[in-house]
Amino acid sequence: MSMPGEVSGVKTEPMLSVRELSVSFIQYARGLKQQLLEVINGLSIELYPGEVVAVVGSSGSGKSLLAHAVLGILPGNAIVSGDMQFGGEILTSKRQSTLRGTEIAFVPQSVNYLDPLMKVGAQVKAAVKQGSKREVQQKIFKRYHLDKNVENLYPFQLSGGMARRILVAGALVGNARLVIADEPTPGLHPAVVKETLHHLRELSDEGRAVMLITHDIKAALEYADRIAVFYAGTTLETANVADFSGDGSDLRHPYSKALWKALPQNDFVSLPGFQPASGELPQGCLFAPRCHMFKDLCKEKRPKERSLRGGKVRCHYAT
Amino acid sequence: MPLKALEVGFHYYNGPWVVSNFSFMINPGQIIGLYGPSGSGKSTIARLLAGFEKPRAGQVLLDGKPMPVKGNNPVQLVLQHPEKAVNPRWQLEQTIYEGWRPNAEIMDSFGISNKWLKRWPNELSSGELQRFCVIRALGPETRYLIADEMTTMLDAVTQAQIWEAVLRIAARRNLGLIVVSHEMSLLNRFCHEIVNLDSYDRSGLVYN
Ligand SMILES: Nc1ncnc2c1ncn2[C@@H]1O[C@H](COP(=O)(O)OP(=O)(O)OP(=O)(O)O)[C@@H](O)[C@H]1O
Ligand code: SF4
Ligand SMILES: [Mg+2]
Repeated sequence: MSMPGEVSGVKTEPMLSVRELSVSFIQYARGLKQQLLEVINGLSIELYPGEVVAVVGSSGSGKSLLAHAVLGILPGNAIVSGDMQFGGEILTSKRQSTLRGTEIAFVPQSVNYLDPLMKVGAQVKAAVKQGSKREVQQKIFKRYHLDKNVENLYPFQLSGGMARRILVAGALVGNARLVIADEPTPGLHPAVVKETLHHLRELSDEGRAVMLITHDIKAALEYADRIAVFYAGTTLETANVADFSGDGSDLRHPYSKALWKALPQNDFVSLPGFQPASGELPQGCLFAPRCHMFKDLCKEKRPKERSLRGGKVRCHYAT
Repeated sequence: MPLKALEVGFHYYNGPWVVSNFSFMINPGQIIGLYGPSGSGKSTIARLLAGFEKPRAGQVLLDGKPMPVKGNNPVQLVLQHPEKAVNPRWQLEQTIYEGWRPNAEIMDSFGISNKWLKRWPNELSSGELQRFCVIRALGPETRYLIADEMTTMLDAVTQAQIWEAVLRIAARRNLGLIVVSHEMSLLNRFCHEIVNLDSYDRSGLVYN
């Protein structure tokens, strides 16, 4: 197996590189007191041309906010620090706004992102960057089993599944080099799920990079090259697809193992407690309050990311 | 008081029948799974059983009577996408207290942080928001809970945890649960019975 970023032995540059990203929200408490709420901390991730990287992990761990940070669509009260590069150049907010929808495509998690006042056919047409807008739009509608008459509907007239397909069609119809898909498939017909994931794989095989944010670990295993596991605003592990198998002993972090074991087709066991809420993060290891391997050092010192067995992990004691 | 569907049929506008000749019964304390891929009509059945749609044929009866129109619906439906199910202009506190006031023990078992109560829906992740929707549906007047892909947008650990909490409450209050899912492995975990909609005869496949 070749390492990420190596195409037949030649090292390529990452398409997207995020280093030590932190995102905080300014919150106004009583009496005009300001409070900073850190929701992403010290997060690093890289995507290379030609690969699909799946992002899985705890709900509320910052998966969507990472996507929003890369696209530059965080709300106004967000403070971002760290280093983000696309194609080897720093992502400034000016660059983000030109790249968004052209070089970087986005399938949002919420269907509320559709423009409520615009017919959906026109919304997809607007995303076409090459060729006849009309033809390309009709072709993608066909691919996603959307009837011709759907073109003339407004978002409120769509079923949930139709709205999702419009979001996918609108994002994938362009010519983007990086595709970020935030939970693109839940609730879709199995044939459409397959079509969507297949389409994402096809795009990456053409040399684009795809970030697939999903809770569907089965789909991630089938279509991704690597898997990043998120928890409480950071990556606890980056694993290879093959590590998610059997009893999970090839995984590195105790949380990744727990996530694997919790699947209904595995043991369906949960963990005590919940992910710490942002603003209430423990000082040491973020997973410490729920970890069965916990030792004194874990409480004192937050583990740094280190390489282990062809992947990455953030744990003092992982082997 | 059983919840029954008698030879129910449904289609949207002048579209094809999405549900036809569907009969079903659940009693308090029972947990029944509805299995089928999206497009097999299971969300429509969920809406019919919750009284959100009127059947075009047959009838849905709660305790032998048509569904009550007034007051809190004793049949509660939780959907997959929480952001469509809450008022975006209400803080979460208002959303949840509109129906009832859950105690701290219940809030804790769903991992709801007190600080979230003052937030707006777009300031929470989908999974966090969904946990509010589940609690909201578990008010004192609820007799049946219909969970339509309720935990599809949650990570596996939280999914297992939420089901533990819901099953505990359902057992304590003798609620009936209808669990709609495309995932057989989830239904197999705790359903007493599973209705497979794939085996129902439907004309015209709908890509929902
Ligand atoms: N505007 C905001 N103000 C304050 N906190 C926020 C805001 N938006 C998101 N958060 C918090 O940031 C954290 C990360 O949210 P995010 O939506 O990225 O989670 P996620 O990993 O995508 O979860 P899910 O799997 O449930 O979609 C959550 O705890 C959420 O409550
Ligand atoms: S650092 Fe310690 S608490 Fe954290 S995951 Fe590793 S063993 Fe567990
Ligand atoms: Mg999200």
